[in-house]
Amino acid sequence: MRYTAEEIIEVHRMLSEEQLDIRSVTLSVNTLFAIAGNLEATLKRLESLGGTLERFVKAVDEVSGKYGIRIVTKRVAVSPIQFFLESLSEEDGPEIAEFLDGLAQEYKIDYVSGYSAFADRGFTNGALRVIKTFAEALNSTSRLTGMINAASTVAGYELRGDKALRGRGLPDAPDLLLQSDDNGQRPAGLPLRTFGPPRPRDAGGDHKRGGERSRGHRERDKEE
Amino acid sequence: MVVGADRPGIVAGIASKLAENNANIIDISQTVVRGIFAMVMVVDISQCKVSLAELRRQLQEKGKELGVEVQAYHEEVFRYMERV
Repeated sequence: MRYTAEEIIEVHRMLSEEQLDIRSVTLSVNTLFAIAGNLEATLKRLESLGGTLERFVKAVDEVSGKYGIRIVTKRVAVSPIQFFLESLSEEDGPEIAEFLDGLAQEYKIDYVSGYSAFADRGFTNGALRVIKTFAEALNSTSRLTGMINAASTVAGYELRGDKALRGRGLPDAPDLLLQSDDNGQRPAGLPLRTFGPPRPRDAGGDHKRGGERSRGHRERDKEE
Repeated sequence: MVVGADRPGIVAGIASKLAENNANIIDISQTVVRGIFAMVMVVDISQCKVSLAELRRQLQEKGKELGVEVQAYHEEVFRYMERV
């Protein structure tokens, strides 16, 4: 036998008794194709994410089934909401948040990340709008996560990013303070990050410039 | 792999379920883990009629009838965890 019985039993024990599993699989989607001048059009374009999420969930379940190893969470990282809010109003932020949260629930994605802003070199309007609506967006959702990046190696520490958040009653460990809703659901979480890579939130959820055009982009082309 | 109290019919029950699905047994070994009977089978599923997930489900159902716990993993799991 290629493997001894002891080896096979050792692996089985790790998987069944010691809770060895795959913590998470993260899909990072470039959603910049959905940026539009108004909320309605933005949400409509974001709807096309549904097909992608469906295929993602199916693929993860297939891999988990094939190997017989539990995959605990499925996560999706979208382009930072900051970019959407550059051309939208502050109130639109929580609307997008709830929409993404709804998509996550519909397609059984455990976390959707991207309520994020990069404030290491001062604030753009979009970044400021994310910061101002952060608590509301996270308190009204259960699967949404985000982050504020308040420093970078190039720009140093932008203390105002830190202060702006603290002024909104968010403590260092916001999970402890953000409200629970009536069902006891807690918002998924917020880190105030420094020197972060350009990620919406999750490890593996890099938002890179360039790269292959997403399906959403291609679908937009067909519409036009 | 099959874990549980040793009794007649376990090998036959599991083997017939594998044969039903056209899965070929390559090797069988038996050992005792912490006083519990464990049977390890290496099975070729390249000609198998169903997916590994479905085969696992069927084997676990059979295992319940036989009073044993059945688990099925893809060979790659052992390759990545036990070989450098």
